[in-house]
Amino acid sequence: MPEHPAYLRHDQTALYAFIGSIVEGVAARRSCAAYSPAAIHFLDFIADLAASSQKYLSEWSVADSEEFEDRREDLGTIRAAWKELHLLIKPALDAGTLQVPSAVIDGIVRRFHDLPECAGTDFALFHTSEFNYVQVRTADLKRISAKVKKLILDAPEFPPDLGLIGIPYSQGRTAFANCLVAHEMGHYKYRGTKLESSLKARIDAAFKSLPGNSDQKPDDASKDALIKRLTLWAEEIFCDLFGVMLIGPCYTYAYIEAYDLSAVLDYSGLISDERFLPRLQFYDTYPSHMFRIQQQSLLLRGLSWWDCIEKNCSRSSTLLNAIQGIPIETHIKENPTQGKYIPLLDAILPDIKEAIGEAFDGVDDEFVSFSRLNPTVQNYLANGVVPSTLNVPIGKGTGEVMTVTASPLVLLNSGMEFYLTHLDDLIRSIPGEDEKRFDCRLHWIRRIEEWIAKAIEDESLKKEVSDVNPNGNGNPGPPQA
Amino acid sequence: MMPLNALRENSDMVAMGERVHYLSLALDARRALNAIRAADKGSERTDELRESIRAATESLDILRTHADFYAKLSPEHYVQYEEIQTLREVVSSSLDPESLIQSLKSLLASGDEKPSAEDFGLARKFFRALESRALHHYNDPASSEAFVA
Repeated sequence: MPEHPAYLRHDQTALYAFIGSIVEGVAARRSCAAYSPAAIHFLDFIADLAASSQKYLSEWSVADSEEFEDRREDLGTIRAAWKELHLLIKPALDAGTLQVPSAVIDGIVRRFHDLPECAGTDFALFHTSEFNYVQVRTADLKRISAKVKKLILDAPEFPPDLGLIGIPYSQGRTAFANCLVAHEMGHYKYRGTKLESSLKARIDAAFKSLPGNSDQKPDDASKDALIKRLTLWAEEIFCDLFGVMLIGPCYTYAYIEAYDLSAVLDYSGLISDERFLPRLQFYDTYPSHMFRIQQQSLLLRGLSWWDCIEKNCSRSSTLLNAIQGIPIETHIKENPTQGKYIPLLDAILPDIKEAIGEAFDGVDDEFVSFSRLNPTVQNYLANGVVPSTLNVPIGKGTGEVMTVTASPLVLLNSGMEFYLTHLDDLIRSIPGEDEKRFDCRLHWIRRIEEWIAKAIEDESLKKEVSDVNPNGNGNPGPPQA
Repeated sequence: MMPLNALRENSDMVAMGERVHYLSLALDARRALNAIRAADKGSERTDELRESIRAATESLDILRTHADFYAKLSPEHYVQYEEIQTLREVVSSSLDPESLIQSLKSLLASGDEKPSAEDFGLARKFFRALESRALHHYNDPASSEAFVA
């Protein structure tokens, strides 16, 4: 047998070193920070995959020139797979439990567990350098991992039911901005839905139904590109509506603030064409924020939450009311190049809403609980009390109270309502504080967020205790085998 | 008819941060190549070989007949936009689709209809080209985003 060429050993070593350089220091970093169980699963997967990849490389060889031709790109393909993982490893290591808003995110994850077939899902968090919340498409990661395993037989399986979500590195301490992770959980849920598998054909049908399109060549590459664009737009709408259904209007309020969308209102609260119309332009892979917020508003109008939104005196609520009446023709008109595609998106909105309905089939929207507990939570926050354990009055004037805890969904929505509408009242009620000073406002916004996060954390601990010890006698249950 | 500017649309697509689909295609091609090599060496026709060849053959067949490819794919075919475009490029650049499909189908034949050395050669050439082209797109420095939505 001819000797394995030296130049191939060189190439193999280069790739071996590349993988080594990626995972180098992971063990050292891990010993310096605490990570969530989900993050540990992900980092363990990386370490195991590195070991199996390096073993594969050390045994990789070719016998002759023909095998060389067939197998040389194998090294490039494995290198490409590791380049993908490279993107995720440092951000995951940076996101130790001290750096991420674990209580708020945990609360939203627990809400996600209420959805059908989602009870076992967990999410590892990582940091993004841009102000963007992102979801790593774990369905793609799983698919890639399964294919890598076909080449590297002892490669590990990607952890089942694991999602990866990126949050801006600067937002670790905030509570309300992180409501946007609900959208990213929507991306996780979207994968594998009936909507995802049927959407391309549905868009194609809508395309052909438009006047003059029935004779379009079926294999037209530009039509493929159009369908691709529409599927991306549709997924974003799905995820927005998913966010609303998952955690209620606090998602939409966080979205409005993150993109400063209330800027389109004029001094008196009416829509200013000057600032509104330019914001109607769709992006290549995203619908315009105004289209997205309109869809959220229209969904909310059909839910019980709408009464609260109408009573809310914030500018965000004003926007949600005002944007409902914008006709589709305005969106089309303000998109000179992409406007012709908007009717296609409009045509598949019912499919998206149906998919949302399926995802939340049988899931309590918790509005009843919110209505019952919100006045008490507002009262607690107004008095600077962490709303962990709520004494809710029973009946009228009897003085009797019932002690309960509020769910993360209730706490986030109550907290958001307080933040949007009662911050000034709170500051004015505190001697020596001035609601016109920004440092003062910032201080009390942070306090409100901390109170809400603390209440969610306390609720989580109580739930853990009651899960371990369902009798509720305050003692831990018997040791588990 | 709705005017569609194919060049512009396609250039937009390259920047969409979906390069993971190129990696997926490269891995598929690699798997097929490994299976073909094993079969050429006299191994049993494995499920690996059957799955790889069937997906590629059916996709090529659809491309050849100019049928609605992207819009109405079944999961057995290459399903992503990036995968289909790469397949189109490889076939249109240097390979005769008719001969290629015949050669690929012969690899799945049973009984006495053994594939020839030329069939193996053409199939390997196709999957090598597919893997290389997919990796070329994957390594486009402009497509730095991946996996995220």
